[in-house]
Amino acid sequence: MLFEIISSIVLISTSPFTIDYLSPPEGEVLEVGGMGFMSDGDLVVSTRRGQVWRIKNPHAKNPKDAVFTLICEGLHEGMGLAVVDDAIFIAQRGELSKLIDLDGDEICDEVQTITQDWGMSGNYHEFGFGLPVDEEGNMYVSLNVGFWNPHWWHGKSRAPYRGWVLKISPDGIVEPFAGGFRSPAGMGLLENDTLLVTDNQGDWMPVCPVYAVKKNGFYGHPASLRWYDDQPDIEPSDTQPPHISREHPALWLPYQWSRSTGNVILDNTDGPFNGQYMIAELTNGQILRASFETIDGVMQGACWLAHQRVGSAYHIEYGPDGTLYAGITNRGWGGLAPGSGIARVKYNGQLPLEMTDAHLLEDGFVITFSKPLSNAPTVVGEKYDYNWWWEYGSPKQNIESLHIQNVSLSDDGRRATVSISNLEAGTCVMLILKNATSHDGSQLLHDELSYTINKMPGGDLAYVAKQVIPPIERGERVEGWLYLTWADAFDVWTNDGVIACNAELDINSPQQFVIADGSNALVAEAGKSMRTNFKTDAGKIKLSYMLAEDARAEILLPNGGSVVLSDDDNGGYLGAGIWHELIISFSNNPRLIDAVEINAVRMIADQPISNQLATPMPLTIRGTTGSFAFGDVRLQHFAEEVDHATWKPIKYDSEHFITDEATWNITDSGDLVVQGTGSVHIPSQIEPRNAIRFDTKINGTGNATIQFGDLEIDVATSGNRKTGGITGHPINANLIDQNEWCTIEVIQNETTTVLLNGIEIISEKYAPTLQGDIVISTMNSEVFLRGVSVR
Amino acid sequence: MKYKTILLMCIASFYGCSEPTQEQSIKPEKPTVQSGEEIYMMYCASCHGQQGDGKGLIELDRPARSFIDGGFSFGNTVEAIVKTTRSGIPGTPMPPFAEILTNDEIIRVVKHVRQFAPTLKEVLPKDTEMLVRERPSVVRGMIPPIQDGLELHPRGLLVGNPDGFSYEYRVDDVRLLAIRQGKFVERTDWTDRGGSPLKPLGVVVVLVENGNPKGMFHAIEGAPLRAKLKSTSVATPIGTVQYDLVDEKGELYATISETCRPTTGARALIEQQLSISAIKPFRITPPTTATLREKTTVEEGAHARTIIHATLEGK
Repeated sequence: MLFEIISSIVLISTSPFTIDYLSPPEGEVLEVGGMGFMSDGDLVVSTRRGQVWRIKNPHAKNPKDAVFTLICEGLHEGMGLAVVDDAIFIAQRGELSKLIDLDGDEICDEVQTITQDWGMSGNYHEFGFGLPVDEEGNMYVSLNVGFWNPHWWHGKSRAPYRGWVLKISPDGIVEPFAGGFRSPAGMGLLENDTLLVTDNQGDWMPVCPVYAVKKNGFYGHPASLRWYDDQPDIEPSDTQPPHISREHPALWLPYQWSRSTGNVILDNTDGPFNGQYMIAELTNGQILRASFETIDGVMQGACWLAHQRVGSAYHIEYGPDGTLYAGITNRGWGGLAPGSGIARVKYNGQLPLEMTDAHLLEDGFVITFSKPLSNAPTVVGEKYDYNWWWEYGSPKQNIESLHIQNVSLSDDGRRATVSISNLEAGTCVMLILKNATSHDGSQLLHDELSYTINKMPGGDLAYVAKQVIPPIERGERVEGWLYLTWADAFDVWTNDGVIACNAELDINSPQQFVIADGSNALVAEAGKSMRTNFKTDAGKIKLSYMLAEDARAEILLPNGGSVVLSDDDNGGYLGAGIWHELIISFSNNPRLIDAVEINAVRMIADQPISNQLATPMPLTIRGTTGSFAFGDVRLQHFAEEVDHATWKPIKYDSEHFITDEATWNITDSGDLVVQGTGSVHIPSQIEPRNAIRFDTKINGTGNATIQFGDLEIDVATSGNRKTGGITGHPINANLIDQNEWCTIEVIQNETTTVLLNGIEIISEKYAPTLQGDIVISTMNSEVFLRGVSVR
Repeated sequence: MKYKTILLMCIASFYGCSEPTQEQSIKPEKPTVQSGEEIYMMYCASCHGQQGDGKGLIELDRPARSFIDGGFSFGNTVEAIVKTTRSGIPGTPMPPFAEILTNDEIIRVVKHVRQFAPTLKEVLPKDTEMLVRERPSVVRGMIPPIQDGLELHPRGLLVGNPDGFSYEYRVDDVRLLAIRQGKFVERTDWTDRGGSPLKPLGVVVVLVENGNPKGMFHAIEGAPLRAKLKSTSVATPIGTVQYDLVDEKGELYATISETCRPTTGARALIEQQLSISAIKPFRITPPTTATLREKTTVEEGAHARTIIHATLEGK
């Protein structure tokens, strides 16, 4: 396994880049959206709070010596800023504006509207970003699509040019430039003025891309197709891929490196990466580096990690002194601490050993280094592609090891030629260089290289993101997930010292978190734990977690297995203070840990469990060393086949329904849907029963109940009783997501037992009669019911 | 590899806790389907009174809510009252009804209760409030519907002046919607991911054409002219909104600088003052709720026009 090979090697190089942070005035929060420099070296920053700050002395040796002045406020977000001949331009959510200082006190007196010529429906997600300026003075604004409930995962373009990039001339004329974007949160310009646009992983964006944008190109997200002259003005299908040619991105950024990509800038400094491009990355709080090349007219390229642990970098700019400034914000989005402010990345002049370029050959790569190597490195690697589909992101698909035939070093030691026999167009490759040491003894600062191959030299173009048969629409099947920490995070757990709070890594003391009131995280210090009040045996667990430095934690699985999480981990583990996604599959017959994945990197597979503990057991999560934060714990039970011979379906006789203000209908597939506020009574003449099962789901802001005789079952994602609760035993945790089918089974003996998606969540000595009418009551909701059967 | 299966013998006690025993809950007998009013009379009226005025027959240490006065502890939407009815109010005689009534019954009784109540209450402002100090302040953002049935304006602005008056505009086609007095605005879009509407805090003293005014400007031959936002200024003691009047083809008719201020007369009037530089003649049709002091036709050249709004209740 690839990552087993690398895990034994330890890097000892130190970075010649140092990071510090400017100090905004006490009480001010700078959620940076845009940055630029005045001719006198002052830094100007626009923020998500609609403020503009001018910062004198931003390059001061002591960051506390930089002086902040608020020069404008009251703007409708400032997600882009440009300085042109010392005039400040701001991309607001709905307007491109110029700030005017009439009396020379540097404070804005007037906000001039350059243009408002793009659509807004009022949806929260319709951010507008900017603001590159080309040689001719044209400015570029990029526009998000909107997200509407309940199908929020399908981005929509409900006003002109949502999902497009606009080119705005100096006199304010708006030209729709290109579309097919989803959340194009960052832009940039190549040296030749070609526009670069980054997008964010989600529907139709398998991972975050960097596009070199052509006029009228289509970049993959179908919602905005309706605004192309040659396309019908209708809302395109949410799930079916359109039959239209897509442009290829120059880069697909590896998911473990970038989850929310910001802007791209040219490195024009005297540092080691002159002529390359730097890319801001918010979630992982780091900066990537890229170099592009054109193969037979098609742009593609390589990228590397450049600067880690910067904070949630949304927008980066180089200052006149060559310092890289990172504007930080992550409010509502999440990302590495710090979550606001301005970071400075300074180079101390000690040339590091890094890969500085990668050039694709017909049978491999030529990789250039910042200084000569003493010997040819060892190279391993893999290739993979992605699915282009409506689902939120795509895992890597078709992963294959690269067949590396030979690695040779040029006479001057500056270039390694890596021969690979199985490169192909339409894949991304990840190469890892080992034992790369320069003559002066330094080791590679970053040993991984990702390259996007749209085209092999002389070969055909191929999409890395492959069109596939669309997956079944969400909500059309029972997914089986229980969300164990939504709403009341402790309701289905026995808690031994875990606290709900907001947590981020303390950058001054990284072995601990800064804790604040809130509910973004569950924090388990060493020895603290929580365990589920129910037991299960086989299934899948998904959770997010973050470790402080040197921390460890343990997941004790319901089948007796255990997974240890440590800050020393490799593979998909990125480091302290970063949130990771963990997925564990486990089974009980035989008892195995089927798989553990961290950030989609497979860490272990098919690991037998050697102990003899009696199963099923609860799921336990506990901190063992240092500080451990986790959240969004989900559990999926691997269900057994339903024995349909023993269950008798109840058929609806809709002629006898009695409605009280609620409305109802039966869909083509036979689902009963009750909407509004009121109830529907379904007379029922079924013989005595002691078990009922059905599938249900709910949409809307309200809640509902389904009553069988005297037993009332809650179906809700809001309010104080959630799906799965029954009379006398409410559930406060939001175990089922809105618009997600779930299966509820109620079994009655002397006790009443409720199984939600196959997991026993309630067992209580309370046995109301299940005989009588079925009554579906709803308040401001749309509740679905299907497959009601009794036993 | 850090991930390994370990023997769990040492933590077996961890799992050893017994399940807490569940107490049996008793559900009272329920009659068949009743109307909201019947349920109210049976369960609520003894404390809250038959008319919902809080004057029930039972004497309580703390008097029950008068629904007529809009007295709801946790909000007065149907949703909020259902929640309160289900869970009760701890520390008061208000019991939880979740065990006694079905959801359906609670919804019906709440609908009945809701009929007693007047209009919706304001939510308390948080720490995202913006203030107007010695300089006017212009705040751009989404303007929420001023009253039920009106639209949200994705592009809007508020001009707040130091005298405590603020002016609410839509700016896709610049139109004064309302005039407020008191606190300025809460920026709800500073919380979570943002993208939510502004929350103007002042009391509405003028609602221009019920908050949904038609465009005021027309070419002489009748075609509507759009007021295209040109700038906002806080350089002067009161905030200024400037816009161009353009026709469908984008042809410029005039540039107008607009300021609003209350007069000092006995009956409070607000003047919306237009300083006009016209290239082509056009007509002004004042809102139906206001009057234009001068003539409606504006010739080429520099002109002034004043639209007068009377405040509600002559405050």
